[in-house]
Amino acid sequence: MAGCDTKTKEPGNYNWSADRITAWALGAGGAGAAWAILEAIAAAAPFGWMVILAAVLAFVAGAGVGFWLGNGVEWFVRLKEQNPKTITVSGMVICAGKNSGVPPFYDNDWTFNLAHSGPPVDLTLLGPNNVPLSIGEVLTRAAPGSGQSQSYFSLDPNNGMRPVFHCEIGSAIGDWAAAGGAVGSVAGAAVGIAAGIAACGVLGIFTFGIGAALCLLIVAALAAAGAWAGGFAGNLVGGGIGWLVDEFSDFDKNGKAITQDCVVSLTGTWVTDKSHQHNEIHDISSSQIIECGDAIKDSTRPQGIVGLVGIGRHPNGPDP
Amino acid sequence: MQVMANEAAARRTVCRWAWLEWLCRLYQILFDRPNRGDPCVYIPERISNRPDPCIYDQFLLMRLNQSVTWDNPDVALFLDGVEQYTYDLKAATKYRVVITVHNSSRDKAAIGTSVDVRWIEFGAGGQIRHPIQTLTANVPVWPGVAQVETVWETPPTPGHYCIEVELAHPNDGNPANNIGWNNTQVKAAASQVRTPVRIFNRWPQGCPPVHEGGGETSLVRTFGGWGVLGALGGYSSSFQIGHHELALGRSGSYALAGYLVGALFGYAVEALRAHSRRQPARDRQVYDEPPCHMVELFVDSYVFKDAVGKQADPASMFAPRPPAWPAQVEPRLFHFAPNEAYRDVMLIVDAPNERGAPEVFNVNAFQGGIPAGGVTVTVTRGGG
Repeated sequence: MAGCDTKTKEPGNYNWSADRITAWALGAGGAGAAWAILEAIAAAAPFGWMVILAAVLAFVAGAGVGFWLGNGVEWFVRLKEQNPKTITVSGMVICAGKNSGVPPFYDNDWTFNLAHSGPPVDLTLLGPNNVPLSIGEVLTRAAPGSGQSQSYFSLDPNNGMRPVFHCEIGSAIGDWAAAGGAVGSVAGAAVGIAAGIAACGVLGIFTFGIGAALCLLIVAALAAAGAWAGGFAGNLVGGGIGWLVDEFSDFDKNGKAITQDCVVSLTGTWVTDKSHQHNEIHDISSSQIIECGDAIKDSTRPQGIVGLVGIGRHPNGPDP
Repeated sequence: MQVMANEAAARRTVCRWAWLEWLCRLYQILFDRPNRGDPCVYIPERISNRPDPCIYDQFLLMRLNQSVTWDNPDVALFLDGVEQYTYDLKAATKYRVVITVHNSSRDKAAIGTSVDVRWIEFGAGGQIRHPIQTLTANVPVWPGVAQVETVWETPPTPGHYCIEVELAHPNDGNPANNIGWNNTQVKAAASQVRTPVRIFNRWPQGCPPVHEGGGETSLVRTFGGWGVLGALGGYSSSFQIGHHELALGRSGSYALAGYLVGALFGYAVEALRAHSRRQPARDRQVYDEPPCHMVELFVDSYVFKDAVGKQADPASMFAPRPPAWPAQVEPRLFHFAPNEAYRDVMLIVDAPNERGAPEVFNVNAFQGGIPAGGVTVTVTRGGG
């Protein structure tokens, strides 16, 4: 099942995190290549194709560590909490989906896009009421420490670029996969380097000493393989653990289903998501279905239905 | 969804050994996966299925642009078994306060709901609360309600009082529908009824300062930039030209030390840089919002007619009702001066001279565009 896409209204940068992770990979890759060249100079190895290949492979190794490590770091620092921390909003779901798939390509979060404006209902801030806060601020005020001067509107590309408020329930799969990938890539690179050095030693015994350049090439090749394979393996193992955590946390499956065209109220942590430079609720701590489909679309006073549920004169959930 | 519920029920019957429950659950998760593929998005129970204790909350309704009354249908005061209005309470007298608590959830009872009962000075936006008692309500699932009551002895000085009720539940599905006010007054007929209404300043110091934006101490630059630079520096200082082996052990320790020094230095630089970029909250007018010290007042004659379930039609229950008689608040819009605690405005109603039924006038206040409170004034007539 696909999650709900958004695009960040310009000049916001939807790919902010992706750009950062690319920088991590290029930076660490450059460091790897520099390491190989310095080692070659230190070993007075003849500068030839073998050293160039070793530098390229060291770049790949460094890029692997940088990619997985950067992915892990950016994952855990991307959400900046706002003040007040918890808000409640009501609005119309125009997209509901679970971002299911293999991480890091899919984080497996539950995602919702609430329409900014009706029909049938406008996005409304229901609480808290003890601070001067409006829905405009909820959408565009940047969180303390976010590094942004403001946040930008989210647009739903599958609904004619309609302005939306994006809300998510975080899956443990994304967290564990990001951590697993980072640990796996570092461990994999370390094992690769150790294996390369051991291979150099063994080959040196049997060949009465191999050249420093060849040894460097072997170490770089195994480090590259270890970094990427370790990252993927750690990511998959972490994702598996996260999946188990998700399953354990909702073993009885007594939850409810939300579909497009439901009006809901959502309570949760209001954050700036730096990775897309927009604001969202992440995590949703509580969701209530107010009403779905024609029952609210055809109402002459749809916001009144939200009010009736709010004061307990009508139950939450669609009418049976 | 029904299929999923059936599978869950089947699972529960198998996992009956409490001491091995986690192992049993692990087995079932791994090898007994339910079929998926529903077109809807399933939300875990801990998020989608919570109790929701609630009360007639004027602030929630005002946020939704619905009409409100301050004669709260869920709060009642009794003296010797007779229901009283809060406008005419006797000093130093014990009243029975009865509160009706609702629950919008059809699945989860709101057991152990805390009900804080307080009184505040008559007017809109009052911030000084005087506790009466904290009660506990066990609210059954909708349409059940729970009634809790307490005895309140009014202050020794005569006056008008507003009863405030605030609910709290640790697992509340919607914390935005928990505050209800009962704030009423009655004025006898006259050709022109003038009622002072005190509007309290919710934010006498101005908008609460919120630091936003800027201010990031970049860990990426610290560990991905400064640290790496330090590592390269440390490494460079370790190697010797003409050294004919891979000096990983020695150069590695130099690089590691350089990385740590570089990262520490970089963190200090980044923290200073972030501090210089920190900025205060922008004025709310950036967001096209009214300033925090601006107050707008609205008058109507809306009357809440309570109904539940299928009988509750929002089109009729929240239908606006303009002032029954010529009525206005003077001033209708004003700005608090800095540190001004409150301002008294005047509700002016031109009541007809002939006899007839009384009418209600609700004064609703918004400060900075946010619901601040209100009062309901009943104007009686000779025959009313």
